[in-house]
Amino acid sequence: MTEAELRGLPIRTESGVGWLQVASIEDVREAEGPLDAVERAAAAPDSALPASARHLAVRIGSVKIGVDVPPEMEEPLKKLYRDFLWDGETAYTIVVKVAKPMELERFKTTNAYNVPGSGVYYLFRWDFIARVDLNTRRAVILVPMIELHMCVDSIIRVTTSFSALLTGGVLLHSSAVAAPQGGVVFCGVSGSGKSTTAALSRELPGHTTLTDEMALLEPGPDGYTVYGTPFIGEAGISTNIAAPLRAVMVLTKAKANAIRKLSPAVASMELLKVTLCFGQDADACRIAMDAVLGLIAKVPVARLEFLPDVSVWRTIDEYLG
Amino acid sequence: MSTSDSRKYVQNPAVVSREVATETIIMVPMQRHLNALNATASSVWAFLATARTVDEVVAHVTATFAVKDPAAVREDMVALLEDLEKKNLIVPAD
Repeated sequence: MTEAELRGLPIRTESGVGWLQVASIEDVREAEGPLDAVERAAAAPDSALPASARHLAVRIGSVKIGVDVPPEMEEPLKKLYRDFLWDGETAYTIVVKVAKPMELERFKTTNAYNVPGSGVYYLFRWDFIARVDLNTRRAVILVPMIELHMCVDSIIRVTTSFSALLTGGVLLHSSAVAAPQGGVVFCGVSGSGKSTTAALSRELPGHTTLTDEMALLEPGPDGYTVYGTPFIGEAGISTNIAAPLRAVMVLTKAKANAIRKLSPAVASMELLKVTLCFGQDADACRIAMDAVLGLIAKVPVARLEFLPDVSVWRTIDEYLG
Repeated sequence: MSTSDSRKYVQNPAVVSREVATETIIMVPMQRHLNALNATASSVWAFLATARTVDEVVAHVTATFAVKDPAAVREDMVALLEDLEKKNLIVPAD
């Protein structure tokens, strides 16, 4: 190491944009009533579910989640998850209950709160409050109106992300394409070109877009697999297809196409920024970091500098070989 | 922090860190920030697993990286320790 290198920028700090707003103690006090309500609802036995409750199940990668919902939510959710419905056993259960309005109006975005080390996470927003218990693999959501079935989607995302992290996988805010050489994941902050890059592959033979919003990456004995998910973005692309993962690319718009290898630390930072993790206590940090480090140890992570036209796919296909 | 500072500093026990090749990634639970340390800062970070003074850190870096200008190292290490403390990655060892 030279003395010039020694004097280089020693610390790089970035915001973890893939992470939720952490509830302050004032937030928690303000949400105390709804928190008590969801705690009581979670304590009720399954036998307390109304006879009219409907059960449906989804499978995303290896994550299998059962959902018990009021009958009015059944059809909208079946439509939303039509390609991901599952009729086998499930590892996680989500119970949805309709409750009285909960005075959560001031929480415009989702807040997360947990007692560190408990494995229990509370999430609340203006339209729902949820208690996710990783110990029992059971979540309870209280919603004030029967029409709010998209709240269930939020908790299915949360459950999928925790389930993935606990088994060494990650749910990434990213697009993904199954190319003839294998799966490629494109990530970056909003506006970086995730959907554009995936969309540019549509006319190419043998290329299928798995998702334009969120990809699930899971480790296996022969490497990682990338899965499409039902979590749709603006383009609404959701394909229940898996591909062996060949590369993860961090997007940067540029005046020419190029692919540059990232150092392990930079790759880790970039992926942690787009990893969905709904807890921010030390346990959640550890599982997120370990999952991302496991990924970068097995899968090349590169920066893709790109022009937003189909020429970028020549560069990508050449890279994949 | 000054050159005569005899105060000791140590890794904040609340943070979560992982070595990545020669670098280090650190997260402070309940904050929205990720921190990456380069090889030099990572070496200092690992050294601060035990409480150390500025002088001890300077001696460690000077020896580890065979630096010829210890005065420049002191200036850099004071700045680094201040930054690490500001980011809540290290704390005074009382």
